[in-house]
Amino acid sequence: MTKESELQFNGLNHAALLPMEILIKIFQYLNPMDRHQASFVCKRLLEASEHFYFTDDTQVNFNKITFSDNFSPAKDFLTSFRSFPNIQFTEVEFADCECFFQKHGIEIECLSIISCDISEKKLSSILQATPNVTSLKIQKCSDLFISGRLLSDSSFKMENVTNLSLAENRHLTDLLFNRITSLMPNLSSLDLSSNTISFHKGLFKKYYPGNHDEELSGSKTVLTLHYIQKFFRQRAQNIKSLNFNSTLIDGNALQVLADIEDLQLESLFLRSCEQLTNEGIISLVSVQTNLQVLDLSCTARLTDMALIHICEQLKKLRVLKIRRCHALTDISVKMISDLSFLEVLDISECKSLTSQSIIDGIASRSNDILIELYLSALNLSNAAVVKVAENIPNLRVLDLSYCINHVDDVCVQMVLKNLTKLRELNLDLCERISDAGLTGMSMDNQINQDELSISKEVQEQKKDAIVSGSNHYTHDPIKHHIRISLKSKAEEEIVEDALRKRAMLQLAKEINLKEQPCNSFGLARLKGLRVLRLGGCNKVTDVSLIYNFKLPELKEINLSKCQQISLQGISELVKNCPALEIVNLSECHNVDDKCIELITSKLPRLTKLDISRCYKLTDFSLDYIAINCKRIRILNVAGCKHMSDEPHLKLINIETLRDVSINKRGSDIENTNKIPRPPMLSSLFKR
Amino acid sequence: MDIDRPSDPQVSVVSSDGTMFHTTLKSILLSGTIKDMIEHIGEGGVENMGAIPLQNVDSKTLEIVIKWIEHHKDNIQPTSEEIKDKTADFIDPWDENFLEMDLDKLYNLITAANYLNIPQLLWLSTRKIAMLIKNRTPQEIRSLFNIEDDWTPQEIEAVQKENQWCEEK
Repeated sequence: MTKESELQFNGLNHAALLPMEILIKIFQYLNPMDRHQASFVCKRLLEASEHFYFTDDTQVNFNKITFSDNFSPAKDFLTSFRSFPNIQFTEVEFADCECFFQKHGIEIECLSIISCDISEKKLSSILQATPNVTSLKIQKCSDLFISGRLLSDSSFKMENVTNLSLAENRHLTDLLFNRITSLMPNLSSLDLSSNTISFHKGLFKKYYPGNHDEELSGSKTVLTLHYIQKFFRQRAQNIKSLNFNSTLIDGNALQVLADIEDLQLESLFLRSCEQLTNEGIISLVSVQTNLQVLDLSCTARLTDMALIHICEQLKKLRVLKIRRCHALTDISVKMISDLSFLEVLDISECKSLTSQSIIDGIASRSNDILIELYLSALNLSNAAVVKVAENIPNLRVLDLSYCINHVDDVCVQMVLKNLTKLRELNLDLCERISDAGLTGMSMDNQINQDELSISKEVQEQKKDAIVSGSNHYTHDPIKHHIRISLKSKAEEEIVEDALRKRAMLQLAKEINLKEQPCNSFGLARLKGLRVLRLGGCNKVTDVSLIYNFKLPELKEINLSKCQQISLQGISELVKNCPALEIVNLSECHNVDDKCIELITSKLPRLTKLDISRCYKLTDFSLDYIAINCKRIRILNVAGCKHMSDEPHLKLINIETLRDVSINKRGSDIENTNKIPRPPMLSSLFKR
Repeated sequence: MDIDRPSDPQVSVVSSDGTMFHTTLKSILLSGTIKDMIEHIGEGGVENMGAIPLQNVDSKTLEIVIKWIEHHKDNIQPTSEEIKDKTADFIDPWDENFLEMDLDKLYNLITAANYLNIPQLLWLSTRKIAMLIKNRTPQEIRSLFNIEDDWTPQEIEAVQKENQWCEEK
């Protein structure tokens, strides 16, 4: 960045001089929050920020309110001169809001109504007032479907709707499905996830015992695949995307889909469908060769045979998600490297996989196409991570969370060295990572302290492993597991003290080292990083936040359970990362009121703050939040035992605040734990 | 400057205020606008086509542009598509240094790069402005760029109220 103070101007209004197309170009290099700030500068910049290029990344979310023309917020929008194409209603109670939809209805393109209390009549009038909606979501509004009268007397069509989601509506029936879809002749994407759909032919026969009228209009009691497949047949040429996540769709149902002529899907979502069979997947995949997006996560029965088929048949795949498919082994996962257009791959939590699946698979050769890679909770060796870092240079998202055993400082250094385009790096619970890995300090000449000298030996061995491509470390994880599971509270504290001491030692050393040139790599190399998760990385201390932590784009940071984070680190963090919006410091026992003062006053964009179970915090923190936070939406102060009994009373004047978690007892750790643990690993953490 | 005449002949351009600059064909072809012009004339015409008048670029700015295109004439230029996702990428230190100029010059450079259609230069210069805007409050942006605040307090309040409900998707 330049020395702005030296910049001069000659009294001209620069923003006025630049043509709009240039302003829009400039705005393209800003993230949404920066654009948002800039739009307040003058009206011309607001105009630039409203360009249609940018409408996709923001939405209006009315949340937990009564929506009425007579009250804020709907009332505030009645006089607005802006347009809001994306609107979402969550847990909203609809009252009189005709004026709102009269004014804004025409410009709405994406409308989502989720978990709302809304009558059939109201929905009908809203839909009538929003003729330009292309994407419509009605989710978790079960009451809306109970009576079966929804849209029964509607005379209008919604010709522009191409994407329809009716997820998680318990009382959706064939009749209603038929009625809704017949209003939308141009549907190309349909989401029926988390619905109770009967896939069995027997049930269909039971509800349609040859009655033709019924068969025409659809059953009033059930939603059946054999009824809605008629819809697929009629619209086969238009339908490109189907979502049956979390349904009981089975192999036979996939066969039914496979038999539909002219159906050429591009996206198919079958996450958490426990009844899926290999045969069904294989038969569908053999005909749906145009698939670009396929999500089969949490399919317990998916085996190598099916995945091999997928890799052979679906040459156009761009997105493949097979998270938590436990039956998969290296044999098939290696073959994923044959998918030459793959941009997103999620093989997290496939517990049978070894490093070989990566080393001989997706990272076996240079790959410029892959941009998102999720490897959470895999038993990966150091060598596999290094391979990924070296061979997949364009990665934007890398998830190594819960790779507890092997992701260490050397891995992090390789990531920092090679993957400079990362936008999101998830290292939650990679407990071996320390300041050395994140700052690059003392990485070129590994320091002599006992713990790290061991890691040096290991590192050298690993270098051999990289060369030979073999994995010597299969014994290592077991050792490590035992160490975790036997950890007693007392031992934990001793380790903690030791770490704290070491942090101080290192700190002193670092100040000398600062002047020396290093051949190592700091986090600041990842200039575009927006999300960084280090939750549970116990060895990460203030040192990491102080050196090499300048991340101007960083929007979200998770430092939960990093016990060594204190005022010194936080004061650097807020200086180095002014764009932070989401901060998680839960269970950081050294975070005090002073830290919260800094966070709330120096991070003007803060929208979400988790400081649950930070035992040092008192009511002063609440005051700082109440005074300083102008944007905060979600706050978690659960288990802050030194706060007053009713913390929310202190926060009553923050208009933006939607959600406050205030569970005082601190005993329901399960409920408030923000890091969901993969179940397969949870057994390791139970004491 | 490259004086390898047979493969890279000399070309002259004239700024809006009448100053003539000499550069090479290879350099000037980085400008999409001039490339189109020359393709229109045909390669053979280059030798005798005379100086190219550039009525929208003054001599100070043209000098800067020529410095840039001559430095980059042998580099492969990224397409506009490739540029799109480069926000946070590393910048060549030469370019970083090159862009150390006052805002007036930078604005003129942007306008010239836009007119001459030099995608990479336009990217660098607009990105530079974006970097100055990043992480600043509206008031800081106003004083940095000398922009007049044309909002009334009521309007600002209304926009702020609306924005309470806006979030990143």
